[in-house]
Amino acid sequence: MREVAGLRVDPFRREVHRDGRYVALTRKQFAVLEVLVAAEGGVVSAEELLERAWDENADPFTNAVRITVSALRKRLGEPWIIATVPGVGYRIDTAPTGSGREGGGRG
Amino acid sequence: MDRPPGPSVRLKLTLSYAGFLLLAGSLVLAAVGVFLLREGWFQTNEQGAWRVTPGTSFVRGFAPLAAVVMACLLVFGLLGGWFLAGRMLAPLARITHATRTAATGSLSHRVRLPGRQDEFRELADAFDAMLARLEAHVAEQRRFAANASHELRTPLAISKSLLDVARTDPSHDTGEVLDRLQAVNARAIDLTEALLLLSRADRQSFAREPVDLSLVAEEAAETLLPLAEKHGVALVTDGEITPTVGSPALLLQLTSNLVHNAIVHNLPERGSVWVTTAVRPTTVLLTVENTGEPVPPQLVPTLTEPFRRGTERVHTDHAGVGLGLAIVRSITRAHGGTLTLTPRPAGGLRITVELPTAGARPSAA
Repeated sequence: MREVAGLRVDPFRREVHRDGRYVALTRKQFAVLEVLVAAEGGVVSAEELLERAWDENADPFTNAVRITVSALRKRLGEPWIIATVPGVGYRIDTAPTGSGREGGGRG
Repeated sequence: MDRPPGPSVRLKLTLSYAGFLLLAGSLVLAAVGVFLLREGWFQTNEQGAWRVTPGTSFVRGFAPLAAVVMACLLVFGLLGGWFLAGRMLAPLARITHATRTAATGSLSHRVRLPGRQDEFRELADAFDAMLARLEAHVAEQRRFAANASHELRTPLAISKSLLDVARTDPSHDTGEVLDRLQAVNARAIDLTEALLLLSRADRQSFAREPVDLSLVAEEAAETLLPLAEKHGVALVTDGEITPTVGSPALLLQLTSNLVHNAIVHNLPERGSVWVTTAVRPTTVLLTVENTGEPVPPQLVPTLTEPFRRGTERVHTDHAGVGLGLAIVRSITRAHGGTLTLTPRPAGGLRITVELPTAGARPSAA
């Protein structure tokens, strides 16, 4: 069980709660979130996400990571909790600013 | 079950008519008798008596007349009742005849009751409608069984010829034979699994639980994204949270089939597939839309038939088992929903699955 920034991730029951609210996720969305949460706020590159949440046979030029992260971000809701670090990767924003619009990177 | 031919209802109705007539007749006669008695018309009074010979009693004066009237009524009631009951029951005999014919296997027979719209006509029309539906259903099942066995025979026949070749020509490359056998075998398994899925959806033997269609759509898109990228197709998923009730596995199958079809029946390059979900007041919508070759409108209704492929020139490596949309239709039906296929003016198809919503729930995304 890991908790970060109001997110509670239960890897055994494959359940995610944000501020006590249950969030239903697909398998890949959950796998991506697990990797990001495990990094504890550190930046995870798209390549690393692809390797750890998909498999070694995944096409390196796939859009899967971008698509899954944006769907995951939408499911987790506001304030946006997954920040995009341009050119580097993604990280969990441990202190998302209140209304969130300006703080969380989108896109 | 079978009654020896006899006019039982007709006889009962006739007796009832006659009985009622007699009852009414006796009442009228009784009323007349009481009236006459009270007015004193039957008294043996020498002056005021009304054309009655002295000494005649009420019974002797009135009874013969009453008896004649009652006898007339009885005859009239029996004859009229018999005639009327026969007329009323004639349509029933016709419907019975049609039912017997249908029971012996001839579903093409119809009652086709003439006349105006009454209860019998309604029964006959309902019966005809039922027969038409049964007939169509049986024909569909027969066609399905014939197609299924034909499709199942193909991989078996190919296996047989591969085995024959391997046996007669031992110098043949065993690895190649094994590879081809494996491919043929995999195809037979896919087909059998699709058939099982179809019958499972048709029997509606699955547990129902709350399902969010948008999550199912994202799951299907996730799984099929590699295929889409291989085909150079952009796969876009979007939409609100769409709560419904059903089997998550079957609904995932439905969505995957739709998205898979949309990907493989697309433009050779730079195609698109849009998967969207939406909430309506009492229903939820899943729409899968794709670019592609124009689809002739007259072809659209046949697309959901089993073993019917959109175009004859399907690329062999994409050719599914031909049950994809038939499975979608069965799963939609089993969930109490409707399936709509519309050709897009610019080519490709727009397929909408509309399912009942799972009660009101805030659709916060």
